[in-house]
Amino acid sequence: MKKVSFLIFFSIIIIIGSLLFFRSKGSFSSIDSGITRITAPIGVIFSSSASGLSSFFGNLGNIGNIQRENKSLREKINRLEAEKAKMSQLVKENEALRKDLNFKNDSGYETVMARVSFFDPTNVRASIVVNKGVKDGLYSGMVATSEGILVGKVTDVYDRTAKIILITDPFSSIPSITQTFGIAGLTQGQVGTGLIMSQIPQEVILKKGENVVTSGLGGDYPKGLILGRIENITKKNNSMFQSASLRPLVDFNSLEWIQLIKEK
Amino acid sequence: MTILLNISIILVSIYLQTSFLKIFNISVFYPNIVLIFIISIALFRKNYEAYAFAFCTGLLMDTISAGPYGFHIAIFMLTVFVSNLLFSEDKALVSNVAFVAFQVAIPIFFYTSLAIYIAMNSGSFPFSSVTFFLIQGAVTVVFSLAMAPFVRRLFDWEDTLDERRKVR
Repeated sequence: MKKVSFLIFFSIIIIIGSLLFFRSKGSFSSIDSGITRITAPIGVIFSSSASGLSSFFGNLGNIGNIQRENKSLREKINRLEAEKAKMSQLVKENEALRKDLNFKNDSGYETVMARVSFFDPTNVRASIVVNKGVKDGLYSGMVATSEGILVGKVTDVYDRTAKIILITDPFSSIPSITQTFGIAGLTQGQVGTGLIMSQIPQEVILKKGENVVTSGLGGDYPKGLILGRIENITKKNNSMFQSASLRPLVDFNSLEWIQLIKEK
Repeated sequence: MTILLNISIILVSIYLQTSFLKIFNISVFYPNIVLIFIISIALFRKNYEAYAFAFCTGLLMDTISAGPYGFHIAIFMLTVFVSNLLFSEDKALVSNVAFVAFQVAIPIFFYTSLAIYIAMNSGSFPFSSVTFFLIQGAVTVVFSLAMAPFVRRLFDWEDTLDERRKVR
């Protein structure tokens, strides 16, 4: 009996070892691709119906709030429309100046829309699988946004599906700056859908409520994409750096559609 | 028949795990129901059947998950291996205490391994992350204990179905 048990134990180790070996050599991509291709369409149905149900139950309990919110949003839209008109004038002016100075127009990106099929099953890592892949023009390293806010980066691409590591993943780290004062730091994901901006010098003064955007350093992410808003600032007397916890501006738990930015 | 039923249960739980539970969570925490079913399969199904389930489910979970690749396969297959090592060949005789102990130990092992991996490989692992892992593990343990009587009844019902089919 013991011999059989150890034989099984070693077989498990050999199976897992060879899996890891062949995957590192890239031999497993067709199997991964096949699995996600078969399961992704059903995943889309599940996740979209789940978010539909969630919003239905949410709306039932919030009818009064929705009416008030609707009124304030209308006012906000009017204000934003006026600002937009002003901004478009500024963009035109900016473009003319850029042309004059022969600057590269770094805001010209093509985008691909994709639907979320699966969320990470562990609830510890933060990743999603989307229903677009190589055949739709996706490639590894593409940046994913939702409502104009950075959500992650494509890591694995298969024929019809792709895996995206979200910015809230503990392995994600993005060079960032604060939007108003340009204070530089490093935004890292935290286990449990949080974001923390670290490596900020002690002497600078951070402001709560300020937006943090990508700095564009390293070239992995385009400059100026919103990451989150400063919620809490942590300063320690015996430390060289201070840190700030950020509140993500999108709900990472109910992502449904995302936009993937293609470099021109 | 029972194999088909178990495949459907596993598939539905994977879909629930990767969509519904993410949205209908308890303040960002939700149980790992796939792990709970794998523990039950490890306890109540034949060796080869349990290993096959552990491997296929692990492969599917690893493909969807951000990794580390092979983590789910390893944990699920080790769960089956340990269950075979600890409990007698007649899995129907597994006592309630053993069942509960196993259902508590495996989620703790699962989340501890994942926490160690993240702590060793990611840039930072603050105290809040430790708390997160503790609560996440506790939620899975509580759900697994709450589901235990139902899961046990389900497997008993599957056995009865199989026996009836054999008699026919």
